[in-house]
Amino acid sequence: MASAFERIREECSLGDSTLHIEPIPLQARCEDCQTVFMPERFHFVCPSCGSRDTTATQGDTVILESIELNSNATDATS
Amino acid sequence: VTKVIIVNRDVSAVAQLKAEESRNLMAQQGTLVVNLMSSPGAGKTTLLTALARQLNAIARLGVLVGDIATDRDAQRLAQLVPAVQLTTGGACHLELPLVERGWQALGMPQLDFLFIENVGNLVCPSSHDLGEHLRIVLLSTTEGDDKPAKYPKAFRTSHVLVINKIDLLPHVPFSVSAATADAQAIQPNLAVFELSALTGEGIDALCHYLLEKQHKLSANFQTAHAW
Repeated sequence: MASAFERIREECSLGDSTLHIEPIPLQARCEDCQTVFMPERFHFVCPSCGSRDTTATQGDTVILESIELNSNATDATS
Repeated sequence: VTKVIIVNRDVSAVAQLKAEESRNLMAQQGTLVVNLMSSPGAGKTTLLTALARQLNAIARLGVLVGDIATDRDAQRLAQLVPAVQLTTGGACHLELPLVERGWQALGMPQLDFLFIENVGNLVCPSSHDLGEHLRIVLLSTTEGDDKPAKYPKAFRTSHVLVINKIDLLPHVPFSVSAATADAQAIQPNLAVFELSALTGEGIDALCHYLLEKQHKLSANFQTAHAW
């Protein structure tokens, strides 16, 4: 993703724009005992009760959080 | 002047929505869409050939075959079932728009099963929803039993694990129980089938499972439709 952004930055004249990537650790929740755990080695069996009914709650998607625009020029829309 | 635009959206949200639409559309027609993933050479085409031989007499099948180049796999399958080759032209996985074009090239027939043979690759295909109802990951005994631990996402996102080439078990250092245990730790709901697509051993159980899934899919839609 970082190298793709570099290409786009150069090709689309995005100046000195930067891409800030914040890794979110993988986290899961047990649907039986509600324990929240970090699945080590991607093991999704609940470490506290052994249940197989668990759901990933974060860290398994890519989210575009925000875009920050800096400008010294006059705002074109105003 | 600094302006912050809060987006806070999953980058794959649009692709997921399209996949969901396609999944519903196929379900309405009673077509169970199956996405078959594996490393190159695990036996995807051989498995589809074996399944087609068994299911042809009782169900309407169609196959879309993904490859980077050549239409050899589609040619192999076309002797048995309507098959269309999807050539990615270098890409390492299939995406929904290419699948939709393949489905149109097939003539959009009324099917019970649409099998999609993904590009041989255990990494990228697992990140792309093709609008399938069932994702099968195929692992052959010649590849080594550590594949689930090394490529967790392929196993995490699948419904079914097929362990192929069990006829070679006496000759290769592959532990079915170790591979199964690792895969089910990663995806606790994974259904596991051990078979040899070449000899036909174990194919019956998988056919039975697929037929049951297809019956459920079409029964669900008929119920929903009647309401």
